[in-house]
Amino acid sequence: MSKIFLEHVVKKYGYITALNDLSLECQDREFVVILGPSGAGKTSTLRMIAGVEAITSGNIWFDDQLVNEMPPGERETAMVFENYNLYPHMTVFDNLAYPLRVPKRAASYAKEDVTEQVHRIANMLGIDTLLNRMPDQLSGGQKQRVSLGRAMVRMPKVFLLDEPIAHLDAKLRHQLRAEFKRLSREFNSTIIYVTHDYKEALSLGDKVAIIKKGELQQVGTPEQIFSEPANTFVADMIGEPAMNLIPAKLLIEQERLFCTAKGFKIELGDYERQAVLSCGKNVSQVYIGIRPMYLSIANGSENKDAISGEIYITEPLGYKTQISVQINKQLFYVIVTGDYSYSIGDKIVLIPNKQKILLFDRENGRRITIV
Amino acid sequence: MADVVLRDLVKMYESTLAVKSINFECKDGEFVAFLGPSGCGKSSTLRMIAGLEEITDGEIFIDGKRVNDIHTSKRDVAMAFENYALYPSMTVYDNMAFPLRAKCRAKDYSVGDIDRIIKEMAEVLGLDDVLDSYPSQLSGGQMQRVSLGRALVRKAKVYLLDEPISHLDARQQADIRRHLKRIHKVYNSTIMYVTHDQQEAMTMADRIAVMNNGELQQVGTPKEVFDKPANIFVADFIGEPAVNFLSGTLNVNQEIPVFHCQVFDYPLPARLRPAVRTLATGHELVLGIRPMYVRVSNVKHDDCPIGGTIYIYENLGEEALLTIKICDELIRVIVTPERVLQTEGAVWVGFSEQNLHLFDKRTGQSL
Repeated sequence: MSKIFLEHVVKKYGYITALNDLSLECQDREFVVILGPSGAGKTSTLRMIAGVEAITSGNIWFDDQLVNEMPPGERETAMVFENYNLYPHMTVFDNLAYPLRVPKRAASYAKEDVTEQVHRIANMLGIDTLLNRMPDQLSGGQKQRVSLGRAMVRMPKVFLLDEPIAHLDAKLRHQLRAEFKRLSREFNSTIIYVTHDYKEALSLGDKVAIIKKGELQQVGTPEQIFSEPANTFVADMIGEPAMNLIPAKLLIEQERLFCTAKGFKIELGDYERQAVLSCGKNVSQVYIGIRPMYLSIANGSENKDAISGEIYITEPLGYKTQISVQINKQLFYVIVTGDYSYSIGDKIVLIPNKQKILLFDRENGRRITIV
Repeated sequence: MADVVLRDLVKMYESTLAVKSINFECKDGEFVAFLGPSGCGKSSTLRMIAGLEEITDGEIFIDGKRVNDIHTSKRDVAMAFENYALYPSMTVYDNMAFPLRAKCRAKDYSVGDIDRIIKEMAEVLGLDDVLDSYPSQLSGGQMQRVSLGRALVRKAKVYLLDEPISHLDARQQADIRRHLKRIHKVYNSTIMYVTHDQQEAMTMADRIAVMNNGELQQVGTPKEVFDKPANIFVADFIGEPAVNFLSGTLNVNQEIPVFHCQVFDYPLPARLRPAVRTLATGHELVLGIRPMYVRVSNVKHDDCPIGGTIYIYENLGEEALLTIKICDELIRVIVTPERVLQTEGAVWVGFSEQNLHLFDKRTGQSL
């Protein structure tokens, strides 16, 4: 059992604040992903939980125990890094068995127990046929599995992973991501996983915490951060191509709400109208946010919400195509599936799926929601 | 602008055959991508065209002229490489302007021309803020963009680009890809582009030359290599997530030839029957199907006759990825998240017939 609670945690390196007032709760056996660009403070957070980095202020709790002063060895956390750090002169078996043979634990594990546990973990990770190999005889993916296995072997209460698959090639990364998702169900540990890859976050996390420059931006389920991003940073961080964020102005005419920019005027729905009215201030400068999959292209349309533009470039991806459309010098990204017949310079119109439009306050980047 | 012809091109490093007799024609104004894993010979090919590497055998023609014995500087090719080779003592601006100020071209460009060209290129590549910086002050991604910009600023018969955006993060790569393709289309430049990233090749190139072990595996448009892969290697290399492969054998003892594997018996659709007419029962086959062409249903019916269970479900926002276990085989399926009826338990799958690929296991060739 291990619930982790970070309470107003601050980390400063000299004058630089790496982490500013972070509060985050991880339930027992929950899979929490910390997502953010490099330099966001993700790794610092993980290292403070592990106890290898001191916290400047605030508290860290494991269940009901304050661990601020507890040395790393007593915290029962295991950590896996981007680079595997395997012992090059030991076989896979010995690498896996190592944590069980250290003097501190040697007493609690008989020789047979070690063998049994190593085999159990190796089976789980699909590396049972590699136990006699040396690390330099392994591929990158295999090494990373051994590295994971070495952390799992002593059944830590808390599992801390720092970009464990970031440097592998795309195919292997996606395969390991899926495998890891499957495995994590069997761990019985609380898992905190750091990444800059939004797909890993969406795929793996029960909960995702997004950090930017030491500040927590949003905590939510993958569904929430995808469809209800708290601000433009989160909206932009999730999705490829990114969400279209278009500067526009709000306009109220006869009780109806419109957003407008050069070239288009779209009437917004009831939710947006109520949200704008309820936010307590007079917002007029906004970003309209719409994901590329929620825009469609037509050759011309009577639709009054149509936005006129021209094809900037098309990029086929096999079963779908990314199309960039230029509207008033800004590029809109659209994803279409199936065949298309557009070429550069074609005049077309974009039709947004209005249900999927999000509004952000341009002043502070926050999404405008019903308060 | 010019066409480039490779005839029986061979490159040998001591005893290693890096490029094995390649014949290829890059048309005037075409964007061709050489795609393959590391060590496949794609860079050697490009370096021979550039004149940086000795040609062991065969011929290269640029704009109809044999260039085997012509020095790099006289071939009129512009180049950018994975490692940047920037002048450390010059600012970004001066690095990019260098090709335009070279003695042989100085009379073609006025100071005003150069300034306009550099500023335009810097804007496209997102370098406007660092024009006065020195290479040592830049990130790897920025240096790569400067190197690419330096290659693109001048007019050349052919642009040779070797992994020019490999050090950029995903977002920047996507950005540069769009602009580079746009530049190509607007100026009709001839571009030969080397990459190991199938997405770069698919999105930008008019044609892709897929290479492995020093040999051309297939040359075709992005649509052709995606929809009609010539062999298992190409099918596996193109597309993300990759093609699902199932190994099995042919059974022609029944009226309709059947693909038999441990998991199921699959009567071959009419389209594929002629291809196996000359083969005997027991012939080893590989069935390939892309993740987006696998149908999934929660009930068994004619289109979804094969039973399995959901092994892993991943919702990636724009699309969802199902890994389905059928006996010991794992099959990956892409669906739109709205169409996901269940995230665990038993399911039935079927294959979209026109998107099914059949390969000979021994030769790897498509049937």
